[in-house]
Amino acid sequence: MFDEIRNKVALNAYITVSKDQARVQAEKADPKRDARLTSVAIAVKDNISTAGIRTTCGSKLLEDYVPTYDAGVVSQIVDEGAIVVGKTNMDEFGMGSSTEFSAFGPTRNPYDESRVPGGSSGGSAAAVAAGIADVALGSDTGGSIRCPASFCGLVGLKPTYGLVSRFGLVAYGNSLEQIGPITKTVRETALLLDCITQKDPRDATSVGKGKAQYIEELDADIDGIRIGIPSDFFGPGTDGRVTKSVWKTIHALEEEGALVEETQVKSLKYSLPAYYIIAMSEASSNLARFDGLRYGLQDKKGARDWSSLFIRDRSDGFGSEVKRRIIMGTFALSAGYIDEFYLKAQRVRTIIRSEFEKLFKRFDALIGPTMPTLPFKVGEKTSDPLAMYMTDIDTVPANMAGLPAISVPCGSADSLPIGLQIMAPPFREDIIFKIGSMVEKISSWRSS
Amino acid sequence: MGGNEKLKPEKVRRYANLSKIELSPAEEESLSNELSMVLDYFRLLGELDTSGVDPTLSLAVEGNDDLREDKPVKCDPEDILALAPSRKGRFVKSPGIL
Repeated sequence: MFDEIRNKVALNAYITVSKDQARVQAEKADPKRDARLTSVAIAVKDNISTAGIRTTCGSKLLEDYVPTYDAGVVSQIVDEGAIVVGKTNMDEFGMGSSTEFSAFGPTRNPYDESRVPGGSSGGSAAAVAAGIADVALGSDTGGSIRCPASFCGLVGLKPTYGLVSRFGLVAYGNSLEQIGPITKTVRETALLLDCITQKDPRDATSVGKGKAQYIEELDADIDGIRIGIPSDFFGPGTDGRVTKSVWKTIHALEEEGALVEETQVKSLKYSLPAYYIIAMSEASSNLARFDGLRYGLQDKKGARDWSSLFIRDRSDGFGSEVKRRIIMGTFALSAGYIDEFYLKAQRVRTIIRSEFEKLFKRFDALIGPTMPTLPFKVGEKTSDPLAMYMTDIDTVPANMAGLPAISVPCGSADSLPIGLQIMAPPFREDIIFKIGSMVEKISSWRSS
Repeated sequence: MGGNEKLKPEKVRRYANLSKIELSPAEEESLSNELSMVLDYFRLLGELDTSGVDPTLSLAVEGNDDLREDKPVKCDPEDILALAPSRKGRFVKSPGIL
């Protein structure tokens, strides 16, 4: 595996390769023990803390930061025999949809290196797609697992909020984000999820499902399952080739016995601006901890007072997109604007949640495209923040409402993969896996 | 901030200051344009009537609020102090606050 990682260095999927630590983990593995991930090579997104392996979040500010503890999910997968082979590239602190906003340079899409792998967990997806990791963990604040899964022809799941421990995940938008699997098959995603759902007392929002058994839901039939297709998910920005491929799969599901009906999510067009206000506000608060004093980048020239050192470390350490979001978040939370922006967005969030609650009385699941477009070119959207934000239009509603959502490959156009998204009610990942494994069976996409 | 008022460079500087971030005049200028566009987009929410709607501040599952046992975790203070860019003995070194 490590030779292959070296051969594919041009993809820039990894920020840190942890060969020595992997050897120690492999030596410790007990083949006789009943573990579910024995010797599985796993790539971990670089905002998930790993004891003794540097965790940069794709930021210059944390270039040399080495955590003293493992994230809850890392303890759980290592306990199941998995071997962490490295830490993957990402948009700085998770802020981006293309893995171009990294202090360590952009990651490339293995299917076409002139294109982005999606983001922000683009390194994790590129590593799995290129065969330089068996499976990977990413994190998803507004689509950061599903977008790169879609762009790299993989399966990626954002679990229900609270299902997976966030302990040790460096916070960006803490009311929105979850850690989840990125893999080649629905079966692998179900297996990896089964291994990370234990309740973690160190994350107060962790609910815990004990030793989950999602993997048993895979081959159940979908006869009579009620699927809603919100027309709003096929908005004017949606590429015709994406629409065609997703609808072709929906018709195939119908032939398998699914009851398909078109519907609407009226609040969809408000969920993107509301999402960005909340995410930026939470970011401005969560990233206030980075002062360069206890850890992280510090200007060695010395400063006359604490405040000017604080300012210098952050101005030098954060990239442009992170600065943009922190400043915007500070604005949205400031006296005079908090009602018009932050609280308004939280009220809109309530409306979005109740609309989904109502929809899930009529439907077992909702289906649409994961991304409105095919993978775009490196550099195509970096100078236009709004155009980059718009790519998240179909993924953010699941984060706003805390719902589980998966991206499964359903076809391709010009040799580039297309992903289909399935959303279900909270803690009904079983429904997602049932439909997801059927999509996989009928889809024309085969990952290389 | 009604209508399509622009987020002027002076204002960008003010919120950057509150965020403990220093910007060059060129950065202030470009952020002023970019953030004004983003803000215009955010104003779309004004269309939606939210009177009488409570804000969703958290998605934590109700009733899932048991506290963990309050007991110390084994940790070598040296491991943590070793992360500090400047230190003096067993203290993290910082310039004066005032």
